[in-house]
Amino acid sequence: MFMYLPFLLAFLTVLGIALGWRLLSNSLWLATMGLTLWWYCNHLAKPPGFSF
Amino acid sequence: MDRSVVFIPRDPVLPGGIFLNGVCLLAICGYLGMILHLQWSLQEAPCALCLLERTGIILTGMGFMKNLRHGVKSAHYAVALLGALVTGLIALWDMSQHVLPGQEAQGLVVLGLHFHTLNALFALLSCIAIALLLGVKSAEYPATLQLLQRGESLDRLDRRPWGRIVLCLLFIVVVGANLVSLENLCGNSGCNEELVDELQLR
Repeated sequence: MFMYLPFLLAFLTVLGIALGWRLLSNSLWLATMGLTLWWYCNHLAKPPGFSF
Repeated sequence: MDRSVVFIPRDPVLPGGIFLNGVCLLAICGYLGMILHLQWSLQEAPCALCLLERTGIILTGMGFMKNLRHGVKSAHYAVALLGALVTGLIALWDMSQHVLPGQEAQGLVVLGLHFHTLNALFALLSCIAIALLLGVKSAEYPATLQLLQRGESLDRLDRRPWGRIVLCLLFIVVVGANLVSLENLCGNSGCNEELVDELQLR
């Protein structure tokens, strides 16, 4: 899992917002949110104390 | 019937909501900048959950940036609120990991609080701020409608909003700096999660 992927998506999203590309920025925001939650769910699957 | 008055009034005319959104975005930029400064100055490797919390903070800022760029809308506050909730969820999970027996809280301490505690407080404050801003938006709506009906907003729309542009650029720079710092931290090692955990354990 590449850790910088959510940050890359977030950077592209803020660029899309600044340029006024609503559809692209909304899609990228959704992708960033989905990736963050997916990554967080992977942490939930680990035993307590091994995820930090 | 002039339908433009019916359909346009959600565009902001009074600057109160815009100004407060700008203050919120500036606060988020400052908070992200402080985290970056501490990471660079102390060469502190962030944990995986800390990075997720940072993503949540950026997601919160996106809602405020949308308000500055496209006008104040409830949907944009929903974006910010979802970001704040994700930040709070991850920060609370992070906190719960450190209260287990045999576990010690790691990482930097600022004002006597660890970053996961600060992030949880940030999420709580964001939710409160968004609730207040939604109240401001509701209060501004009738005034906006009155201004549009009197046709006093035409000359205001021509002005270039430099304050908003500077704030949006500042947020873009901070998000880009986060991306660059993470790539510098991981280098050519593939930026995998286990590596950062290992760096933090050293």
